[in-house]
Amino acid sequence: MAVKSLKMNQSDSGFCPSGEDSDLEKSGLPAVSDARLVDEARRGDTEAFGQLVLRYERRVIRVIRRFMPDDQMAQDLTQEAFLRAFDRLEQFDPSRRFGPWLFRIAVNLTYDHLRRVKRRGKWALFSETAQERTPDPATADPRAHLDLSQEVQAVMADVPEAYRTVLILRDLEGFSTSEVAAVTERSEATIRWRLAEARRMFREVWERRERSFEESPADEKTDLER
Amino acid sequence: MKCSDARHLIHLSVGDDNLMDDEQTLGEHLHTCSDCRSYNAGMVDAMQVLYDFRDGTAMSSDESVWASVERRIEGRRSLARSAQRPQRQFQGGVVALCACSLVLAFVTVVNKLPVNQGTVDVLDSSMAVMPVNFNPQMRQSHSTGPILIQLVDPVDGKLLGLKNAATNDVFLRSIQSEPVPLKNGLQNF
Repeated sequence: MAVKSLKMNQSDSGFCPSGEDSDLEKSGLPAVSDARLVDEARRGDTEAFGQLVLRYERRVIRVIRRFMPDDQMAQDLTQEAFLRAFDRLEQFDPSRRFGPWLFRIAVNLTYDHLRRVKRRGKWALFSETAQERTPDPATADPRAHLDLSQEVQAVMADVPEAYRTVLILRDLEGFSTSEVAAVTERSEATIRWRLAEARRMFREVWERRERSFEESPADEKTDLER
Repeated sequence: MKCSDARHLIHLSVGDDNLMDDEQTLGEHLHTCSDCRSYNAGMVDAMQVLYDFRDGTAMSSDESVWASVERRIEGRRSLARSAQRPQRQFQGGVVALCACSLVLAFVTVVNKLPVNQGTVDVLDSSMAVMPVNFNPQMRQSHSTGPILIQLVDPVDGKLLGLKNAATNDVFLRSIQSEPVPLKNGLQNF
């Protein structure tokens, strides 16, 4: 895709939390402010919106990827997030930053998707698929084969949504508390409190899981000895 | 400082999210409380797991989503354009349908209008014409009444009515089955 270069020397006041440069900035093109690009996109300039996509896509994919392990689904949700942002550009308040607004859309879309999957899982309890999923007691505990990332993701899934979001954005994606507050539309004080709680929950779930792993082999060994 | 407060600050401290004053107060508490020191160590370990996970997971795909997003935006636009086009066109079909409906309504109304077949040419417009249900049997019972002249349709010979020879009053035959009471005492004819 050929994105036109806008002749502006205005610095980018966008929302790039980790300081990661976009492809455009890497290519040496002058940075255009998000506000300007949003304004042009609202007037129907698709290429301006394209620049916004290039600027944010990697961050958005990474954030979504933190919520779900499926790469392809993360890509699809990223596309969906940008499409939704494009559709709702008219509702965007230009006096505010584009980044938090975009990340909010992405996070909400991701949670919507996860809820749908969860609901489908509940219904599957009554279907044949559920019977297939029922663990076979003869096989070993499947958790033993999980690597660190899968284990952490499993633990994160046990943390309630509101806390998980803060934990992911702050500790995994490096957003500052004020940026997390902007994304979630909460006060910084609330975010700090939630962050403390989220870390406590993560620790508790993690340690509980570790303890259960440690106990399981011991039980098996005792059974064998008997 | 209570240990419960200290632990809240520990949760923030491990991510360097404490305010400077809070960090200092926590440091003082940790210096004196071994339980909280141990809790702090456990918290640091848990956070290390999180950071290892963060550093160990990288995106496998470098492909940009913009091409797909652009295609979908263009697809939607062309869809919207094609959906709008017929609205701007002249709706000839609707107009034709309206015209047909009007013509049909007009024909229906015209068909229901009474038709003047020109058969009662004996009637004079100045004559007083009143509707009457003509019953031939009534004539026998009133044979001494006024002289009445039968008005007959010249085409099919049907009786159309009666004419009073003395007064020139004409009584047309009614299509009603029951006798209709007549005005001016003419019920006796």
